[in-house]
Amino acid sequence: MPQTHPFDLTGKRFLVTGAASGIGKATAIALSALGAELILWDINEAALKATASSCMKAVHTLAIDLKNTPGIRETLLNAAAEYGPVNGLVHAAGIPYISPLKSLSENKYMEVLQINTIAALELAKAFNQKKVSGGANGSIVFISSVYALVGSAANTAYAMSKAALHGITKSLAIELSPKNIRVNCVAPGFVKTTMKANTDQLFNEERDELLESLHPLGLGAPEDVAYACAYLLSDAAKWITGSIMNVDGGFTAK
Amino acid sequence: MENKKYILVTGASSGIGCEIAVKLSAEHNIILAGRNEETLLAVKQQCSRPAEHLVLVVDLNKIDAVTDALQELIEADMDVSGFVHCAGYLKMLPLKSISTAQLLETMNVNFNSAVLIIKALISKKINRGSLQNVVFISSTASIMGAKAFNVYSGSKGAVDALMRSLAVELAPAVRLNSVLPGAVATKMTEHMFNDEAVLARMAKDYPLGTGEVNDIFEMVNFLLSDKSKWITGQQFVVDGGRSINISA
Repeated sequence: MPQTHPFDLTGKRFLVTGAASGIGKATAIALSALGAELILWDINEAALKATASSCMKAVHTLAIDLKNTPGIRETLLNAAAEYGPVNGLVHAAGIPYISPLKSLSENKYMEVLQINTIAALELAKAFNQKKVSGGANGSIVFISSVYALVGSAANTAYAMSKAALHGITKSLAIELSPKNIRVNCVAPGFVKTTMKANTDQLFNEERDELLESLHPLGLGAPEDVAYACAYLLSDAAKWITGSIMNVDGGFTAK
Repeated sequence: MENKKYILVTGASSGIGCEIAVKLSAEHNIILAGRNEETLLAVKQQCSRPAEHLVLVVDLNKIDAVTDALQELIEADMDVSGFVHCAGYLKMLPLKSISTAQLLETMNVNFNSAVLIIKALISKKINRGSLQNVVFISSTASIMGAKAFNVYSGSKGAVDALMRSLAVELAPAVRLNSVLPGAVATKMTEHMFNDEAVLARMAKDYPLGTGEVNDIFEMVNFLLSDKSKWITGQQFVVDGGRSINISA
């Protein structure tokens, strides 16, 4: 029987960061398939264009370095002026950093914080402007990680950057609720993405088997996380704010 | 021919269970479970394609009869592939006034029945082990304290702990998750929504205001769908921000 999709996003416009690969790319494609118009950001311009070509609706791409903190607000303001107000955003850009405590580099962990965490805060700040959100109503989704919730050696900087997102999510959810701007977080387990491939070179097959065994449903696909983002952006989730949605194949149930 | 698939919905006579069952009936065959046959038949008529659904008259407080009732209902050409446990018993009382009967009824309806229903639905003999997906309607009372919610909170905490353990035990064949609603207006909560003082407090405590049953349905529908195929063992709070509001 024909019926509208519960998370229909027709007529809405969203920003997705980190849209050139992995969860950001899958999210862009999923949102587009649900009818949304998109603004896609990533530092990798060529790969971003490839994502855009997989999308169905109007897509505006921009190569941007999220380490440039002051640039975030201005860039989003300009985008909203050019394309129209934005109904929400997904901050999927993120970098991993695996290093034991003794060799943690300040430069490197500050970079992790800047992209994974500070950029999220700046995006929220930008979105909170009337000229960006159109004044009221909206949905912000941050991508954190199960590593915000569990312990793992040599993962301190990454865990710090992701756990901070949970604090940001809850505080902003309360602060922005009078404007009906919802703020939520999706905490994925291990997904087969390029970020995982980048860290794979440090490990071996045994680690892969271990990772698989930690997830009762096995490793996930980026699309599994993308659907949860689509749900949180949609009106189906209009009574959900300040929540952390674990999308992890049961990782945190064990 | 493939067996006809059903989703079992307990508490289908009223409130969250009734609305969820009716909405799910647009795309699924439903087994409507509750105590009163007449009420269930009326809900069946509200469903899409009324003739496709079944009614299961069962009192979840009569815990010894639950397994037999399922065994009797489920035929060899049926697969109960989904289970949404909406039945809930809430009696707000201070601890000093709790009777043994109320304690047992709360645990039977909210928790014990769920254990036995899942046990029956994973059984090869009763249901050909065809269960794939379980959603519990838990409560934010599972994760936060409130006066006079004592035993109800305990029963919902038990449900969530069961959900997590079974998610690990039954993976990857069965996914289990809980939805934790804040206060939505139903028959079970009408005493709260009819009380001006409680309403005023809720307006202050719920950052997004109070919710609708449809908000809960949307999460249940997501969890029952393939879109959530990598999600198991989790609690999903749907409460307009109530449980993170420290000023409440």
